[in-house]
Parts: sequence; structure tokens; C-alpha cells
Amino acid sequence: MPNGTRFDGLKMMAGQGGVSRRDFMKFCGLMATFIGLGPGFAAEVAHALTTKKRPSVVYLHCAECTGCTEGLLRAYEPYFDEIIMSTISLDYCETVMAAAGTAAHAALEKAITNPEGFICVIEGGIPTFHGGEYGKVGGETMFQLCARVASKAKATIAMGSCASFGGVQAARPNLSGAKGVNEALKAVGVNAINIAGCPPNPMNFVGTVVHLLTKGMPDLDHWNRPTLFYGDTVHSQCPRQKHFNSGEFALSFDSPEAKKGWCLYKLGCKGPYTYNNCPTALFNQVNWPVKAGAPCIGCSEPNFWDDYSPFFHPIEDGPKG
Amino acid sequence: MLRNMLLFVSLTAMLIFAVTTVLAYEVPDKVLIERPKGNQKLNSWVAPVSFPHGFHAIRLACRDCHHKETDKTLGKYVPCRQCHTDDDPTAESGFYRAWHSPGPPSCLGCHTQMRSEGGKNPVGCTTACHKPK
Repeated sequence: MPNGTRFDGLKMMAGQGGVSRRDFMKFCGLMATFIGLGPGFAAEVAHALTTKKRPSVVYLHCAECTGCTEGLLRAYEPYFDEIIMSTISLDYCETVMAAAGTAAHAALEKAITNPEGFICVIEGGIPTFHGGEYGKVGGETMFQLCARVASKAKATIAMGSCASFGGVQAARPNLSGAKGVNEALKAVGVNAINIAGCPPNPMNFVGTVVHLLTKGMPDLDHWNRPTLFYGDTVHSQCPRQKHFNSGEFALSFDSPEAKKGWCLYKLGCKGPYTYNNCPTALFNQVNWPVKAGAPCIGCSEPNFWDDYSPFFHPIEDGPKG
Repeated sequence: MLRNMLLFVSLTAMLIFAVTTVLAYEVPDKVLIERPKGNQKLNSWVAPVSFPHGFHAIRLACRDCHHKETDKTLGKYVPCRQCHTDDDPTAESGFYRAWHSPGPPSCLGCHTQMRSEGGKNPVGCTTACHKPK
């Protein structure tokens, strides 16, 4: 467990006026390990992050709950929010920018005409029915805005399951015709990296950005997710797997078996069908759903709201005939 | 004219019959997938899986699953477990990973992918393959 609270950490940071060299190197070491270079490459990561000009990032919000941004902002030790701020130049992000109204829009226009290019991050599904009129920013539909911005970007990252695959608003009956970034913007040549999850681990997002800056494009799987983070099932990495293997299943949440940490498969765990690194990366280096006693709901899989629900029952789908 | 046509049809039929007789090989309807001998069991309750081979054979090309086979080995395809023998569940082409890898030709990989693309194929551990007795 990390020492102290997030608030204590922020108070300490406030007096320092930025990220200390020690914190920064710690972050670089962690990142080098996380993207598969090994801790010895911390200096290389630090070099790549500090010598290049800070890349401009435009962060767009579509049909979403802002949970992904909130998750990113609450990343703990090292403080990703501060480090991200000093590593990238976040030129447009509706959640954290100080500007509002026309000033915010002017910042966006300035960022997308930057001759050095920019990275576009999209959070949330894109409504497409009726010309996309279900969501507008500054009088422009989200569909139009994303197509205009993402088609000019050097790289596009879809942050969260909604941007990757449509998410909750694309679940049946999907009245607004919400789609993921790649599906909606294929016609304008967008091929986004999907950082799936609801919310995704902030480490996966930051790891992808660091990978783009240091080693270039990461390897992607069938669903355009980086295989570094989405290469294996939650089940294969689960600390409760030994209980699954020995047939020790908790049958209710308040049972003594659940308290003993038995397998949650019969309480609806979708870990065997879900590709993510939650058990090894942990959220904020503290915990993840199964460790907290809640089954995996399969949130990094396409259409998980329809295909893997109800959440607290195992899938009932025997072969037909 | 009619005689010629009849001759042609009967000759063609005979040729097809001859070719199919030479090339005939058995496509099993059910295959019992067992651990290779001497392979350590990973799990206490999972029994050998009765795989509906025929069901898959009429829906997919043979080489979708028999990924190392060629035209020359037609009719002599080997079972998965002849190569995928390692009992370490993390070994990339081990026994466990042969059925549980991210994409085709692994069973679970193909089923999850098709399900996410709108298919209704089963993926549940205890409902699709490993039904408890």
C-alpha cells in the first residue's frame, strides 16, 4: 500500500512546483519495465521524453462519462497527471482546461493547425444516427468534430471501451447509433490504437504514449489493442486461478468461501474471456476488481454490455443441438 | 448425340467416383481431446473434452485449425495434441495455450472473436467445453 493519501501527495507536490528529478526517474524506470524494456532502460526513456519537444495532444470528449479522464487524473505514485503535464503539451481537453467557450474553441483550432502535428485522443462513443445530432460541441456534431480533428492527427488513441468499441451507448437498442472511433471514422482514414477498459488502467494509456514516443507503434491485437497490455486473459494472470483449477468456487458474495478468496467464476466472472492486464498492473498500484471481491465484467472486450451480461451470472450458452 | 452425352456423363461420373475413392479419408465426427501421456494435469475437475469435429469440419476449412498442414499431407492430418504437448500453461504452444490463445486457430480465441463480431457461438468455460459431470 502506498503511504499517505493522494491529498497528502498533492500538498507535497504543491510546494515543489513540478515533478522532482527523483520522481521523474522513478516514473521512467517503471515505464521502461512496463513497456517491456526492463528497468535498465530508464535513462533511455528519460532521454526520449526530455529531449524531444513536448508533443501536442488534443483530447476530445464524445458520448462518455469522463470516467477514463478521471481515472487518468487519479493515477497514483508516480503522479501521472503531473508527469503527463510535463511530458506532453495537453492543448485541448474539456475536462481539465481552464479556458471555456470560444476561448477553448480557439485553443482547439490553434492546436490542430500546429505545423508540427498533434496526437488525438478520443474518449467516448461517437453518435452517428441522424447526422450525429445526439451530441454537439460548439454547435458542431461530435461525429464531424472527431472526423475533422482525428483525420489530421499524426496518431489517434481511443481511450476507454466507448471510444474503442462504442461502449454502453452502443449497447442494444443503441438509439443514437453510437460507434467506436475506428468503426465511425474508417472512411476518413483513422486507425486508432484502442486502450479498452471501463475505465482502462491509466498505466496502459501512459505506457502507450511512452511507447509511441520511444519505440514507435506498439504491436496491436485483432481489436487494435496493444498486445503489451492486452495480450493475455485476466484469468491466466488471476491470483485466484488456483481455486478455479481445484474447483473451489464461491456461490454467493456473503458466503465464507467468498471471504476465503475462492474463485468468482460462478458469480459471473468473465476473466477467462477478457484480455487485460488488471491482475498484474493493478489500479493505482493498489487493487483490482477480483482482489476486492468483485468478478471481472469483461469491460475491455467489444460489446461486453450485450455479450457478457448479466454481470453476476456465468455465461449460459451451451452448444446448440 | 444422346448416346454421346450418356457416355460423357457416365465417364465423368466414373472419373469422379475413382478420384473420390482414391482420395477418400475419414473425417471423424467426434474427437476426444485428452492430455498427452505423462502430461501433468492443470486442473482437478476438467475432464477430457468431447470435441464436435464434424460440426466444425463442415463449417470451416480444415487448415483454419490444422494450421501446419499442406496439400501434400491431405488425409494424414495430425491431431493438435501431437505437437502441443507442453504441460506448462504459460508455454506459448503448450497444451493449454493450444485451446486458450487470443485468436484463431485456438478454440477460445476464435469463439470470443466471433462472439464479439455478433456470433452466437458458446464461450462459457463450464457451458461450452468443460461441462461438470
